[in-house]
Amino acid sequence: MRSTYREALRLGLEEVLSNHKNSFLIGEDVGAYGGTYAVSKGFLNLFGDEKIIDAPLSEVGFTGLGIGAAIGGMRPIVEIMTINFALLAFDQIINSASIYNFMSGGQITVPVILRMTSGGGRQLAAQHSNSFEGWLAHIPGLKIFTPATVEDARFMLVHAMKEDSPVIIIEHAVLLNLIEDCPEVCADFNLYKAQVKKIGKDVTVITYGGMLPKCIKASEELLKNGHEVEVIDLRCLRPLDNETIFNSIKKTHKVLIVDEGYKSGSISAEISARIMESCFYDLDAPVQRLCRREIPIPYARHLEELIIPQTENIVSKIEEMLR
Amino acid sequence: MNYNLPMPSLGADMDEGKIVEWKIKTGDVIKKNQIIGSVETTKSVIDIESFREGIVKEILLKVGDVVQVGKPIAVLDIIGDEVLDQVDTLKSRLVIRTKISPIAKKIAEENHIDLASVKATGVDGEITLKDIEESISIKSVERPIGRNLRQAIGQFMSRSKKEIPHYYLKKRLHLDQLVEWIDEKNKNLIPDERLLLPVVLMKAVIISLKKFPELNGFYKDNKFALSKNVNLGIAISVKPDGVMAPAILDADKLNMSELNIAVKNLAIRTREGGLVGRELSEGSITITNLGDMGCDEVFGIIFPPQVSIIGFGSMRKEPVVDRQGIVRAGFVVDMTLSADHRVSDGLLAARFLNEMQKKLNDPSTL
Repeated sequence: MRSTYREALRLGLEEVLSNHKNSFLIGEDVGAYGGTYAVSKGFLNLFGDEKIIDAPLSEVGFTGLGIGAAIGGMRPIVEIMTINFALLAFDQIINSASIYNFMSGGQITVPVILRMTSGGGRQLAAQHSNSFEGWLAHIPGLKIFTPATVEDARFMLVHAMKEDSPVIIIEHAVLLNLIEDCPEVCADFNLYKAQVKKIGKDVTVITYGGMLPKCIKASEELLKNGHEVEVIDLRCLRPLDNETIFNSIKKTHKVLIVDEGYKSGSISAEISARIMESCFYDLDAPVQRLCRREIPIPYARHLEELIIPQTENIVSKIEEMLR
Repeated sequence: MNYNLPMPSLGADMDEGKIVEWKIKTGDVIKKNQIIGSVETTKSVIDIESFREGIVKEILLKVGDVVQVGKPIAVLDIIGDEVLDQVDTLKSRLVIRTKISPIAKKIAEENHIDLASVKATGVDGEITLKDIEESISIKSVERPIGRNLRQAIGQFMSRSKKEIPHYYLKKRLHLDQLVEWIDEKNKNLIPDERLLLPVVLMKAVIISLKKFPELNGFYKDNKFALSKNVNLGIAISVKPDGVMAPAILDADKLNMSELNIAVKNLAIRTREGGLVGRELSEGSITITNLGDMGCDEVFGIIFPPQVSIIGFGSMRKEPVVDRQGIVRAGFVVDMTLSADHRVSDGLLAARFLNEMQKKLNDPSTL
C-alpha cells in the first residue's frame, strides 16, 4: 500500500486511540483544527472531545497533565507541536517523567507518549527549526524514536504503546509528504533495532530522521560512480543500537554520521565516541560528521539550505572520503 | 647530536629484522659494542650491538616491530659526525612520522609489511587499508621470501652461484700423525676439554690461511678486501630444515682449547638463539663439515661476500700406499675448497691445500 508519512502517522494514531480505551490525545490544535500538520484531522468527530483534547498554549501544563494521567493509569498521547516548544516542557519531561520510576523504587511507571516534530527546511526561521532530539537522547529513562520512513510512521506509535516508560517520538516536518510503500501489518517490528537501508561496502553512513532520504539519495548518486555506500537508519536514538553500527564499520572501515542537529555535544558526537571506543582498530579513516552549521537557522530559503546538510553535501563529503 | 641507530645487517641475506627484546631504555648510557637488544631474522634470534656510544634518546620500535635493514631502530644522543647524522635524522623522520590508519596498521603488522615500502594514497597522505592490501598482494606475488629460512637460503645461494665464478679443488689429507697426536694430548685432558678432530682441522685451516690471505676476506663493490682476522664461519644445521654459518670472530687469536670451547658454544647459541649480529655478518671464510653424516666429500657454495668455503668429509680409514709402495690402512679426510676465481686461482688454492697437509703432518705447529 502506498501512503504518505502524514497518512501513516494518522493511521497509527487512529489505531492506538481505537484499541486502547484509556488512551487520549492532547495538544495544541489537535481537535477542532485537525492538528497543526493535519495528522488528527477528523479525530474530534470520530472519538469525541473526551479523547481528543485541545490544550491551551502551555507546553509545561499539558505535558505535566499527560505525565500525571499516565501515572494514574491512562495512556496519554501528548502532541507537542514542535520540539522547539518542548523546551518549555523540559522540566516535566526530564525532572518528572524520566525519573519517577527510579525515585519511586519502581512503584510508579510513566507510560506517556510525547509526539513532536523536529527539524528545519520549511522556512520557519530560528525559533521553529531546531533539532534538539540529541539533547533528549542524553537522558536516561527516556526512549527516543525517530521515524524516518512511512512504515515507522505507521507502526512506531503502535509498538511504543507497549512500553511502560516515557517514550518520545520525534517526527520530521519535511517528511510529512514522503510517499512510500507501507505494509498493512508488520509482524516482526523491532522498535530498537537500527536498519541498514542500503547495503554497501565502501563507507557507512549513519543517520536518522529527516536526513535519511537525503543519505539514500546520495548513496544512489554515488553508486553511479561505483561507490557502494551503506546507509543505516538509527530509528532509535536512545538506546542506540551499537551492534548494527559496529558491524557495518567492521565491514566498511569508514564512517560518516549525518545529523541535522548542531555538531557540538550532539548525538553524532556520542556515536562518534562509541565508534572510537569500540571500533578504533577497524577504522581506515577518521570518523566524519555532517551536521547543521552552528548558527541559528535563517529565514531565507537559500541560507537555510546552506545551514542544513543537503544531498550534494553528503555526496561530496563521501567522495572526499573515498578519494 | 642525534644518531639513528640502524637495524643492522646480520648477514647479507637479511633484508629485515623483527625486534624481539630491548635491553636498553630511554636515558641509558650505552657503550660501543654493548648489546642493546635482540632481533629475529629469517634464521634465528640474534643479539644486536650498538656501534656508537651515547645516551638513548628514543626507542623507535616496539617489541614485535619489523623493519628493513638500515632503518632506524633507536635514537642516540652522541657527539660528532654532524652532517652525516642530520641526513640520517631527516631520512628516518620520513619513515617514523608515517601516517597510517588504525586498521591499515593492524593489518600491516599481521602481515609484516614494511611501512616504508608502502605507497600512501590517503586524503592526508596517510597509508590506508587499500594501500596495505596492495602491498600484501605485491609481496605475495613478488617477494615470497622473508620468514622462511629455506626460501632465504635458496635465494641467497642462487645469488652466490650466479655472481661468483666458483672453482673447486679436492685433496685427501692423511691424518695418521694427527690422530696419534690428538690421542696423546687427550690422555691428559678431562672429557670437556678433549680435542676433537674437526676443531683441530679448523685450527690447521686458520694457521694455513696466514700464508694465503687471498682466501680469507670479502669481495664487495667489485673488489677484494682481505680480512685482518680470521672470522671462521661454521656451517651449522638448524631445525627443522636449514643451515646457518655464524662465525667465530677473531678465531686466529684463540688457542686450541679456546677454539674448542668457542665451537661448542657457537653451535649451542646458533640452535638456541643467542648469536650476536657480527657473528652472522662478519665471517671471512666458512668451513662446512659433513663428516658426521658419513659423507666423503662436500663442495660448498661460497657465502657472499666471502671468497672461499672449505669442506671436510668423514674421517675414515682407507687403503693408503706409503713411500715404500706398501698398502696399509690409514686415517684420511677429504678436504675440498670452493673459491672465487675473481680473487684467486687453482695454483694458489693447491698450495693452500698442501700447506694444510704440512701442518697436519706436524701437529706441534698447531
